[in-house]
Amino acid sequence: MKKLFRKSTFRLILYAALLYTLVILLSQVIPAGDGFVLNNYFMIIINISLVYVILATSLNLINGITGQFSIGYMGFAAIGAYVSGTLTTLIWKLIPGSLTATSLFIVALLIGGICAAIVGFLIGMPALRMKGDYLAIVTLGFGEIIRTIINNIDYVGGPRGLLGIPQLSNFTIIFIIALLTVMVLRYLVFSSHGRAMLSIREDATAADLVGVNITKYKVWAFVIGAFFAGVGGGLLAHMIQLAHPTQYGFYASFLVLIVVYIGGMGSMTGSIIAAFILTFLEKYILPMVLPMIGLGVEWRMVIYAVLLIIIMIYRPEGLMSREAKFMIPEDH
Amino acid sequence: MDLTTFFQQLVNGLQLGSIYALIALGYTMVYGIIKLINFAHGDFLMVGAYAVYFFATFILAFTNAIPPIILFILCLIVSLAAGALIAELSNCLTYKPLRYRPRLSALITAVGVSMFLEYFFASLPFIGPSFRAFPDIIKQVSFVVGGVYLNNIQLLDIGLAIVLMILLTFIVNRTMTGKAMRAVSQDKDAARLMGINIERTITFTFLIGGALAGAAGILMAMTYPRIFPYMGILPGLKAFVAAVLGGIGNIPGAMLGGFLLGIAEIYATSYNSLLGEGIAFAILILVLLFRPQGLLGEKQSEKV
Amino acid sequence: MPAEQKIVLKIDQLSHFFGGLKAVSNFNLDLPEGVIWGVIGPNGAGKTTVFNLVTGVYRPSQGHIQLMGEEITGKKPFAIVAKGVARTFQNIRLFGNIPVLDNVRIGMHKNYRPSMFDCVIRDRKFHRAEKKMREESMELLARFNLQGRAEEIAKNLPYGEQRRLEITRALATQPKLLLLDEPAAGMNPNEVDKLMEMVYHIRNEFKLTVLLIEHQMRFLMRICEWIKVMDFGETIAEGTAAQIQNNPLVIEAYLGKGVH
Repeated sequence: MKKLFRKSTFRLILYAALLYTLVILLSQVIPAGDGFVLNNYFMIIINISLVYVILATSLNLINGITGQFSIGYMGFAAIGAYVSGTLTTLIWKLIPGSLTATSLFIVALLIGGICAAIVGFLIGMPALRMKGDYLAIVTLGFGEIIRTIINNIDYVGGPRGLLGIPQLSNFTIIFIIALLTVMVLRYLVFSSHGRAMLSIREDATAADLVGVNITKYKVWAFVIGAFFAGVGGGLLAHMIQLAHPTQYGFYASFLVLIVVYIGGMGSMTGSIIAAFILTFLEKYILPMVLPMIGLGVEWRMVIYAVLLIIIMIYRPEGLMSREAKFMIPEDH
Repeated sequence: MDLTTFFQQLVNGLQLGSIYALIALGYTMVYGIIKLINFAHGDFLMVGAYAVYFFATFILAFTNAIPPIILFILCLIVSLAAGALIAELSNCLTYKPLRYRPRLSALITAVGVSMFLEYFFASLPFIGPSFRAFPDIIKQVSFVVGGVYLNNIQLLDIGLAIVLMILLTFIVNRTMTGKAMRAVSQDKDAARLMGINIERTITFTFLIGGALAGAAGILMAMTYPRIFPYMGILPGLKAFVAAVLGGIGNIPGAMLGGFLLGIAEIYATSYNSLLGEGIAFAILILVLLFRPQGLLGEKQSEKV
Repeated sequence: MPAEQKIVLKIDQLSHFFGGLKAVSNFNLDLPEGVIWGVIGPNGAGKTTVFNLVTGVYRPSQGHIQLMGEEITGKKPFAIVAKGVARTFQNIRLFGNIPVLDNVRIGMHKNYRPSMFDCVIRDRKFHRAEKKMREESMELLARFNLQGRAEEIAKNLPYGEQRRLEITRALATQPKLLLLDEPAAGMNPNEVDKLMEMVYHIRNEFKLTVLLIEHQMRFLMRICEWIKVMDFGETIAEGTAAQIQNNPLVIEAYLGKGVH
């Protein structure tokens, strides 16, 4: 048993299972006051954090591991959200509760992810020829174009947004998908392919001259990142029951980028931790603390921005600048 | 499209373009000198607009006797000052400490500054997130020339923009400070070795860039007289595209890019609103795919 | 120059322009198997450009390059590396922020092909490939006395060891032709001697052909069996060390310190 415990994958799954059980107990079993210890709002925040885990770890693959600085990432989430949302809401008209509905939901998510991945491929091929600032700008532009196009498709609601999406996401589904995402990405990064991506980040020309097909890996990172963005977007849309073009502009992309950066570029553990910390900070801690010092809730984004700037100035490398040992598989 | 409409749209496009050009100049100057895409630049415009809002409202509450032209000039000075001030404040407090750190952290900080300005202004009780009507500094007067509808505000926009650009060109090409700016943007270390005070030059760049954004702010507020804290986001983004179109880091390029983008956007909107919304980004993509250095920029290559 | 031998690298009329500047003019080479040859010349002579052209960093303006009979002109770098060419750089270009072992394993990358799917589900194929890569990399590091540094971050290594690591990484790609760009840069005479031994050793042990660029005459003269001299993109002389040492053209163009 001890030997099994030393395997970090086992540890990861064990801790995840414990966490899951804990949350379920606190939110559905152990009573407190009117309801349970963890109320609805708290669960929403946990769910959003988990979605950000998916978004941040996959953006990390593109930006932090492969070093391709891209903004405009949420465009892929938009595609995932709208495709899966259209399937469940407008075409299949699913109602949450049955096993069929859940299964079809998963199918819809996958299709959304694949569509996002395809768009990622189409954008990636031309865009990834560029470097540095130009790449950032081009991905920003593509993200905005996706948003603009969606804004003008009346079938999915255009500027009104896609409304009435059935609430097919729940804590269990989101948790499992987040766990799978982390595991898949982790295994990918700690392999020869992951090392190839790292070499591109470190010195793309040298990588080229050591036999790494840099175009192939850049595009793969982009496509995989886009896929998970699509899945994350789909999960989010089915949680808040709506998808709107404004949710997927460059601001939203920056919020994900901030999570990745604060967690430490290239650190999967960091992305996970930062996703939770920042979501809780913005949606729970600040709204609670601000009234205590006499400020309205609208000030939370101001404080958030100030904190961001302070962290940038005093700890620019983020929380985890080196990969935490917890996450490194023993067979790496 | 007949000739009258063509010219009508052209004038409208030049008007919009002059605003874009003024903002784009600030973007391009800052990028040229410290290689930072200052995402907060559009928000400097907003600060300028609000500064004038309060100034003008205050003055007009007391007296109606000031001739509009004088009032306008005073307001212009206020907007230039406000823009310059907020720009240099941002530089001093946030960009300077990160001067020699990785560029990504400066970029994210710029986003932080942008967020801060927008949400701060939106949260202030005496401003708030909703629209405010901008006071009439100069009454709009329309007239017709050859079938084309013009108004004085339009001519003011275009004229003032051109005047400021000429002023800027003079400063950059004929003064010592301008020379210093060009030197620092080409090779920071060599410039330092020549005795140029880098930080002072950067400050100057921010002051000028910010002032131009402030000017864009007052012009925009007079043209579309509703202001709100997020008014700088979209123009900022499009001005950025304009700067890239002209060649980021290239000053004449920013002017050219601004006007071209304004014209393109007006014509595109007249065909189709989707095209109008997306034309800026479509241009961005096309430029980056086929001529990334922009119309007037120079190709950069890596030495192996 | 020996007559009947397999030609590893054949360069024909190679010229390259950067805009209006002629960086390389009419460079020719018939590089036989197993030799150590050198290219010298003053700064800016075009030596590194030749390397860049051979390894596909630039597409030549004119001329042809053949690797063991196969045309590689204008191919992409990673494809050329796959055919058996490896190089080092004037300014060491390691993957600085990752461990030494990983630098070498990246070199092995092209030789082992577990698919991404294999990696994600961690099947037998993946584990076998990983085991082999790790073992071979450690072996290679041990040959260059770097095995103790395996887990250290590459950029923290002292200069001399970084150079050795760069060469180790190049060898991990299992090349037939090794291009060394100023490998002795920044070394004292003692280190240069050791480097010389290492190059001989590599050539013999790994059965390679070596083409190197160097400034340090002492190094070049003692190790290279044949030398080409470049200046302003042109080849101004070639021959054995003794021959070019006394060539008036070479003396005129460039003869650095430490000749004797």
